[in-house]
Amino acid sequence: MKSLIEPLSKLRKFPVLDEAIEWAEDQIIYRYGGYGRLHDPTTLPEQQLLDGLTTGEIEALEALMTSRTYQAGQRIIGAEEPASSLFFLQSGMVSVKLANGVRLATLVAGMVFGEMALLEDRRSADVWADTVVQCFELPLSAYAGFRENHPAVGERIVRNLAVLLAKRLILANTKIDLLTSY
Amino acid sequence: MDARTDLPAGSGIRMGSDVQPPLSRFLKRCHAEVAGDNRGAVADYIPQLSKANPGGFGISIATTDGYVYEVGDSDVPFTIQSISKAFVFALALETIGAERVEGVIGVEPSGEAFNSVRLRADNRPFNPMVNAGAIACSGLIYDAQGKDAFGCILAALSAFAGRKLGVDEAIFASERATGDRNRAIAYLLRNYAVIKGDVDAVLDVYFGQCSVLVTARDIAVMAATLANRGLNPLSGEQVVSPYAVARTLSVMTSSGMYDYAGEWIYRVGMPAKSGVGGGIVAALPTQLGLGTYSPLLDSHGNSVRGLRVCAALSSHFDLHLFNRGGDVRNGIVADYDIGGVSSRRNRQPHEQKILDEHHTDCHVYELTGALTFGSIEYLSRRLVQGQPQSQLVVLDFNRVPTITRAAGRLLAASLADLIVRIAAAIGGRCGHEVPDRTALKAAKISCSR
Repeated sequence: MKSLIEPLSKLRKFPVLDEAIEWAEDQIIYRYGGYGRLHDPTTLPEQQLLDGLTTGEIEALEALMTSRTYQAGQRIIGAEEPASSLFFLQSGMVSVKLANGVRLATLVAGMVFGEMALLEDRRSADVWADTVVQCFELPLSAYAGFRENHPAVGERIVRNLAVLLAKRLILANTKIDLLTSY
Repeated sequence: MDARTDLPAGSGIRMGSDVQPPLSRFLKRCHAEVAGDNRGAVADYIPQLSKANPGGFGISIATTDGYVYEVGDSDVPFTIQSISKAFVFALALETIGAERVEGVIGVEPSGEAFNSVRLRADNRPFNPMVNAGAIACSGLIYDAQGKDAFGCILAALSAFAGRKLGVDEAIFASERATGDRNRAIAYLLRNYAVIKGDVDAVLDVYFGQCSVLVTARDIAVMAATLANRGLNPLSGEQVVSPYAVARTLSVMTSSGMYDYAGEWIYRVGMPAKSGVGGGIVAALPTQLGLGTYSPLLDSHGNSVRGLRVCAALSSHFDLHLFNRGGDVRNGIVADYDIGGVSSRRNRQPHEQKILDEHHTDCHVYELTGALTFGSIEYLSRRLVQGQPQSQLVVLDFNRVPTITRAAGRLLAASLADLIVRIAAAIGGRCGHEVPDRTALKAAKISCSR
């Protein structure tokens, strides 16, 4: 009996599939040594949305941003609210969730959230702080003036956004293909 | 003649009043066709029964998701008679225990008429679907419950039907006044110590259960409860255990239609029970319960029109129990490694790089449907053969409503083997795990400060 129970202690139970896969990913990252750097705060030049911008351009953008701190469990963005800014995550972790609690995405340092404000007027989901969160908020009103003065930078940012969205689409299509091929 | 529908509270299915599902049209057509068949005769061995309306004819089907079809006289009350035997047997198994009940009542088809006085060579009743077995069953419940026995039975029949049922007092009095044949059976049973107590009191319970008033709709819901492993799909009440249901359906299959049982299971292929009140009840496990009412009986005591409806439904919709498709491979709805499907956690570039290189380390199997021995046996072979580099295996049970006990045991054994095999394959690394999520979050919080 012992031999049956002991190995079963290696079993883990998760309420939803997504959490199980996330846990498995954590294990793989940990086993291959990718775990330690998780906590390092990131700087704006590491942001994918700002890829290709010069230091000067990033500094000019930073001047328009406000540094924000949120406590774990705080709601940063509410669905249906006017989408008037975007956020660059410096440290900590946030989750994008629907009103019913379903998680759409979890984001960590170096990623952007609320970026759909560049395309849409209203927030489509909630964003909650999972940990203490440090981030920069860029108001759209301030960004509009910046973009007029730096049209090439504006174009670059829209291009970067398109790359992000295309990646998401590729992932979603792969998933749909896998799950509908049976 | 309109099909009426009844839905449990909160049910997602709602048909517009002008829209009828195809089965509703079939039932109407079937009702119209069969209504012209006036063969058979109303039961007359109990004077009160002979007063039944020979033209009465109702059909009802209740699905295991709680949808009820009704055509014709589906709300006309009639006495349940022998149909009660199936449900009281289930009740006895549930409340008295299988060992005791199975020790007293056999499960072999007798091939004889419902009211046969004959017992088996060991002086036990052949099965609970003939009078002798049913009276023994009532006797067991009387033993256990005393004068509450009938109340207990009426409550159980009501729970099966999902509404409070009543008794036809005139039929009860008539059954009692003319029940000498049953009295003979009961005394015979007492002679062989199958019945221990007061024969008249036991017979009152038995006559009482036969005189319970039901409609075609009621017995359809009762059958749907059997088809739904004892869970009434309308009320949501678990009336009896899946064990009692499986055994009840077994004796209905072998003996439910009296001396017509063999022909019935060969042609129609559904566990069923008929009553001389004109009712026939049939249950198709996992799918539906059928109830018909028409008091014109054939020489076996089965409703002529009811038999025709059951036969038409069975052949038209391939409902025969043993005409089942299925593939053990359907238990796995999808399987993939995490290269194709990642979690909703967006990874930093260096993390993503590791996952891209080692995506085959985790394999996911999404399972679906009621898992049985066959589907888990297939999965266990997939786990043994598949992906030798998978050190992490995720099994998704979110779309699995049930798993049989045997399948559960097989799964546990298969997982234990798998864990041992993985541990052997990757050596000590198996022991190194990320601290759990809360520790992980705590670590992040402390670092971000």
